[in-house]
Amino acid sequence: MSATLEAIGLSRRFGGLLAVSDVSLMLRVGQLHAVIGPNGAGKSTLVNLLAGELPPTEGAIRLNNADITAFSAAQRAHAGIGRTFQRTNVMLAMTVLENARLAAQAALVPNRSLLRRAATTTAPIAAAQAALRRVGLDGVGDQAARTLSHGQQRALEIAIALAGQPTVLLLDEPLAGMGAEDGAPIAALMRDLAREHAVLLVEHDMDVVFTVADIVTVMVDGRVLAHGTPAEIRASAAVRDAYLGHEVP
Amino acid sequence: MITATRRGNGLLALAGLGVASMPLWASAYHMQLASTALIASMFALSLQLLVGGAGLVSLAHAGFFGLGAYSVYLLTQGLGGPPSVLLSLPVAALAAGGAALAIGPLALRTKGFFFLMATLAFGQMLFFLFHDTPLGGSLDGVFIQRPGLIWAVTKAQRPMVFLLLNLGVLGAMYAGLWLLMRTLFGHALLGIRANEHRMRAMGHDVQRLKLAAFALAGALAGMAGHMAALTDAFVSPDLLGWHRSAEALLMIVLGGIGALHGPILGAFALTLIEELGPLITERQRLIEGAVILAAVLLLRNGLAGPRR
Repeated sequence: MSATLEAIGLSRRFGGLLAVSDVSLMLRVGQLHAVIGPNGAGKSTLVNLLAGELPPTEGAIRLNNADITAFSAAQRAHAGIGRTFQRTNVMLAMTVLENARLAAQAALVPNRSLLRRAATTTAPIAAAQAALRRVGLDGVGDQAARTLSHGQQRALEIAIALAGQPTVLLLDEPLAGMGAEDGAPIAALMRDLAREHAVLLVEHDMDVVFTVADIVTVMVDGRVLAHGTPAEIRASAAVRDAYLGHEVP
Repeated sequence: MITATRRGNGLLALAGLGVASMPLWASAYHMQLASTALIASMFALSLQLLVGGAGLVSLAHAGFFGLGAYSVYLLTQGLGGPPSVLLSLPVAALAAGGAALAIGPLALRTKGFFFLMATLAFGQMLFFLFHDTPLGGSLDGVFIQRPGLIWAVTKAQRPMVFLLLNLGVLGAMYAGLWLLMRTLFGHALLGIRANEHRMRAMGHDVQRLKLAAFALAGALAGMAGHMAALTDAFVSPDLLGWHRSAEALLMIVLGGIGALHGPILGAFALTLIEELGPLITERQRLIEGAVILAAVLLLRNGLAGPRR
């Protein structure tokens, strides 16, 4: 199986701090690839490098064998990389449907068609409704995003990413701030999404990670400490040491 | 930014009819006053595309207004006589829109406070271009020959003709922007205003969208400036001063930053306050300041707020 998204020797320096150092990984459609590590390990910086929010200091990123290292965040979204944010980042004053519709519009409507009437341009509306259905928000499409619960706003983050018709999904702590009850459907959704997408999951909830992931990369101090299946990671002494003696579930 | 409902547009159309009927019952002075308010409405409405549409607060806008006004003077100089309004109006829009298209890529590299300062700097450059070089004719302004209308207009007819012309241009501008805000482009601008960072992550070409809005708003401001030159037959560098942009921002705040029709309400309200203020006190600016403060503090959505 060829890699969908490949990071090759990625590094990112902030002044004297090497936040990400020589990280290589491959994301494939059909696989859920989790990245774990203690706070400050460089996980979110890695997501930002892959999504084009930050340029790497060194290294390259390839999408379906094409070099996209110089692509901006918007160009990467167009190329098929969707992402969610660690802190909820939606248009709170807009409706839930409009949030997803704008994402679908970016993916489906060429610039030359931007003067079409929004209410009657059906393709982005249909794509947005499908994305909302997928995450269980189809009943609240007309509500302002600010009226949603925290868990629903996290689900909207995923719906926005999905509405952009991605092949690669970068999920940055999608369960942040959610209890086990709210998190369970999202965890099941992530597993489901990995069937059709290449999914990168950054997550602190180890129970969820070891339940849903196919591959786990462990990062510490910006470097890859270990890489393997959940069983291999569980058995790694180096990983146990990195987590300060806490047993990996 | 919200656009008026059908009922809201109906009320605006009724108000427009009221203005259109002024030749039947109002004096020439009051028709001229209404023309001043209509031109101010056009100018503030063009700025609202940036402020309420894309969340861009610009102080360069008067530069484009003045450029539109001066294009009438420059065209007259170039042609050796007054041009037809059918030529001068598109030329004013193109000149101002072209200037905005040139300034936009540089100014839009900045955000927030720095965008405000960058647009102030570009606006002042335009001001000094007409204030300190021979291009503007004179420091104190110049009287111009009005562009020719399609038919001959006598001096007595001018207040009525200009009132109806200004009302027509404002109506067309408002209708165009009302339709524009309902397009995919308009919705994308609102998305940028709500969360530019997320729009970029979604894949929107935010910079190009903002530049398109900046250039269009500039062109519309140029049209407003053209109508000011046509109505007053006088242009001066003062038209390009940054305080004119600030005044348009005040009209937007007073009328309602979140509504497309807010600037029209704000422009008429401010013109009315400027007219009535001197009847109450010699220090009319105090009245203006008090009314604006009250509007900001008590009417969160401006005058448009209660009638959404």
